[in-house]
Amino acid sequence: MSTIAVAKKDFRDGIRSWSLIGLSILFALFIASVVFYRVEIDPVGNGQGAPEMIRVLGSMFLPIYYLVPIVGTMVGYKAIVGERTSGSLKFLLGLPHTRRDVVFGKLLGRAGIVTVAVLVGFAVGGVVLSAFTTAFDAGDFLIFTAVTVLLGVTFVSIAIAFSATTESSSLAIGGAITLVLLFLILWALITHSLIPYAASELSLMDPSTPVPPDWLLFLERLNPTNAYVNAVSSVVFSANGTQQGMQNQPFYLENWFGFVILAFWLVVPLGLAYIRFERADL
Amino acid sequence: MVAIETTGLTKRYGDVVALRNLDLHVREGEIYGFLGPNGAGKSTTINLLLDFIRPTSGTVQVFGHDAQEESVTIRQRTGVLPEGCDLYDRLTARQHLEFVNDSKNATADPERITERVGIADAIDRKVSGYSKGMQQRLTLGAALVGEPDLLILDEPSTGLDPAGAREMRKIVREEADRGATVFFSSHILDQVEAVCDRVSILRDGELVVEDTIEALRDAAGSEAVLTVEVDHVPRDALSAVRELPGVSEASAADTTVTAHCRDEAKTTVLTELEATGASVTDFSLAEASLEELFMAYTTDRAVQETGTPADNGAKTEART
Repeated sequence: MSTIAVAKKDFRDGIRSWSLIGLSILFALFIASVVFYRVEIDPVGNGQGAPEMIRVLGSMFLPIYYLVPIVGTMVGYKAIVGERTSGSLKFLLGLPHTRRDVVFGKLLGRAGIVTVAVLVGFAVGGVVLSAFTTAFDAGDFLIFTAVTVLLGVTFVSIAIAFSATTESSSLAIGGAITLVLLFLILWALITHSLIPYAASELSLMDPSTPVPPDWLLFLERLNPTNAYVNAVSSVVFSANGTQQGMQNQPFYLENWFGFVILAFWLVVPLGLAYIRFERADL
Repeated sequence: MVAIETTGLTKRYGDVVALRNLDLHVREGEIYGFLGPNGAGKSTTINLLLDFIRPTSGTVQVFGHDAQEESVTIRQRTGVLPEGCDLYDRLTARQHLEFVNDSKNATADPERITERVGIADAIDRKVSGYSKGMQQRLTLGAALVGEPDLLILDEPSTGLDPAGAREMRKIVREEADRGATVFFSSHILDQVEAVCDRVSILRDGELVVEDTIEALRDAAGSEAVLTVEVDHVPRDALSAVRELPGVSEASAADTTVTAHCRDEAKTTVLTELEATGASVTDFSLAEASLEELFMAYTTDRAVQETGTPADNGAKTEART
């Protein structure tokens, strides 16, 4: 199994470079401090509605929303272009690996690094959470962790897609930074201001209605980080009654559709990048 | 049986032709030297053999397998030392060789391999601390894993000192004795002359010659270099000498005329020079070496073909 050989090598490289341990500590400290802050220093929505543990989890969204995509991108962006510029890609492909083995082996190896880091971090966080909050639900916490892993792996995949299509490390870094900016900051700007403005100028939507049209809501949800929030909401928070669901909305605006959107980002960019890499002159 | 066969192999990058219509035939079990100056297209050819790049036209076959369609099958049977490749800084030599074992389903003993290439004492050190020569040795060692049927070595003596280059040639011989085919590129004739059965010479992306070392040596030996001192070189003297049967090229610098010719043609060259009005004051005769032949093939053969007497500098340089 050539893909596995490449993945194993990459994963071990992650251990050797301390990135695995570093990221695990980062996640653990991060989760533990958010939990501690929300429970002890500035409790959220005390005494209302949902159990405390769910409220604390909910408050973790925003920081995770920023941290995990950045980490996933950092772990992935150099995966292939780094070997291409140093020349070790020729050593790797002088061995009987296909380019598919390289792309998907790298994805597995680096996804493994992010997965382990998130798991370790959340395990520590989970201990803190169960110690400090009432009504700790291990099942909910596990699901929350699993979807967070999915978010991290999705960003690794997008970053590797960049890494496989560019020939220079600086282009890959530039692409990765642009991407993170786009999803974390610009997307909201575009879907909340730019497009509504343009669309009402073009009479595509009525600016006086309070509810944006479905297509604009969908566009907003296409952002993988938003898709993550929606996906988590559909499996953790819906059962606890914190979801403000609307009736009669199209299926693609339902929260579970976040999983479909995450799957799209996980598969499509890397698939396209693979096709391009397969045809490239190295 | 043919180990490597390329047919009409051409690689273009935009307007630049890196390789033109290359037909190579490497026989199974031989040590094949692939010669040419830097930039002649040697690495391009090797990149095509390994499917790192794709041909504009033409085909490559290795052991009868198409280099594009069945590249993994080919690389399973091939050990590769790519040119200017970096290894993994964070891995030790042992870890590199274990990774190669993993990748090739081989069971080579890392200790034995590192011993063979002379880095046994550094086997558990990270490659980031290796010198260029040690990295080159390890890359060669990695190519030996799994007793491949074909070794493709791109400029293997890069970074090696003379002793290291000698050891490398010894390993090449041992591998050939085991039955492996060795395809060995170099821009230095000496590296190749000592070990290769057959060589080809590439220049500006085109094959100049493909033959055995002996045949090339015969070709070189049958030619002599005649150096003639004259009082002056008459205008049409050079073209007249070039027209003579048995003369392959002629050039002049100041009052010295140099002619590459067959041994029996040397008196006619002297007679012809006198006939054009020059008086010969001195002459000497030397046998052309393989080195000279190589230089003639790879430097300014165009002179001989077009007859422009503009490159004395290059030729004098080639002879010294």
